[in-house]
Amino acid sequence: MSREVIRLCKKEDPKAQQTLYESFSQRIFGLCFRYVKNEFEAEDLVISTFLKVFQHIKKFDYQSEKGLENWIRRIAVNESLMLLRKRNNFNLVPSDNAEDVNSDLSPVADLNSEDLYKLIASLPEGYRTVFNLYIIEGYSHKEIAVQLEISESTSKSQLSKAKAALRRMIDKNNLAYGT
Amino acid sequence: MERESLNNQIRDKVLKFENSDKLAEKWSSDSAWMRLEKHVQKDDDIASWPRYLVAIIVIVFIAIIGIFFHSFSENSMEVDKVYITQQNNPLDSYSKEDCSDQMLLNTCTETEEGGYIEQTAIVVPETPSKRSISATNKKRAIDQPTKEVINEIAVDEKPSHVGTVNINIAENKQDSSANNDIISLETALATNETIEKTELDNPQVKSILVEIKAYTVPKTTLDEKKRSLKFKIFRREHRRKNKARNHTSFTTLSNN
Repeated sequence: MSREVIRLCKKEDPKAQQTLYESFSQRIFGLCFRYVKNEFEAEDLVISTFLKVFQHIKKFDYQSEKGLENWIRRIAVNESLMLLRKRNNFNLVPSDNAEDVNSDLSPVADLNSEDLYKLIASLPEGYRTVFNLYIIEGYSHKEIAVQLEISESTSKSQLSKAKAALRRMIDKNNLAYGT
Repeated sequence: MERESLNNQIRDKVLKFENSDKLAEKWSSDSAWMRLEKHVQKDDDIASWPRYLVAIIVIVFIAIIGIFFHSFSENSMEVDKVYITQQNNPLDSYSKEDCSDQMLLNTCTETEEGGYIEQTAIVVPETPSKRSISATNKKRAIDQPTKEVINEIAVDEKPSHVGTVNINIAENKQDSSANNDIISLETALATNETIEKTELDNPQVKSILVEIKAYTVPKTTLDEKKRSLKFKIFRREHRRKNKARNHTSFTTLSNN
């Protein structure tokens, strides 16, 4: 992604906007789908994400492509969370027993990328949201607590349960390890 | 540390899949782009709306101001002169040019009783919505024996309505509001003798407050009435009887 494309996007050039969209839309769709587990909703989220990107790109200070991607991903995450919040408030059950399950992720990490993606997408919504935010997006529990309006301990507990659920699913489906 | 490494491993695999063609096979970004494009164009249209809206509002505002000032200047011509006359005084006239937007007219007449009447007319330029001329005679210090007349004339577009005259006889000049006896025009006329008697005979009376609220008509009606409207505070019989005394009469005229 060249600096020139961003400059033109700031001038609302349609071609530059399309170039930017084509560069990131697939990844953003994958991200959104991981959160909402629905193709149509994920597509809607891609659209709303890029609308926001185009609206606010004038304020964005382009340093590197990685920085740009992180910015767009963050917008996409926020859009996804907003949709989930509207839908059912994440289906999170407050809990303090964060360390009550085995949180070993080794078998999960050994899955191939497609299986891993599908497995995460098949998690219950509350677990999936916290897992996505913590493991994939790299949010801290504190940030998750703020985003989802839950306590940190609830976030930790949801993550532990998500990991346990992943392990159970691996065992149940006898998924092959290895990339 | 190990946990962190596992997390990174999972993250990399997920991102790898999201970047892969496998996802592209399942979802076409073109259809989404077509939808997005429409939204972007629509947003552009919406974004231009406020600018159009502001421009329209400004134009309408300027037009309203223009119309307002136009009619204002037209209507203000309706009252070019205000004449305030008193029976014992020569006619005082004040042209509109004497004052600007708000005319402040003063006339002061000494009465035989030793007091005097101060008349202050405030002429408010007329507007289409509310045509008004108000004249207020304000209280001022007077010599003994005190006899203070405060007249207020408010003229608006109520046609042919002479209005009311309130005569306020106060026992104490310093505290006139405490002993008000406000009498309507009709009552004042009907009980004129009593008022006169009170006014003249009662040594306790320190001041007489007369408030006149009169109403005139729009210019067109004024034209029909030859632009002349008289407000008589005291009835003629009273005037005849008390020629030597102060009588006030106001004549508000427009042009001519």
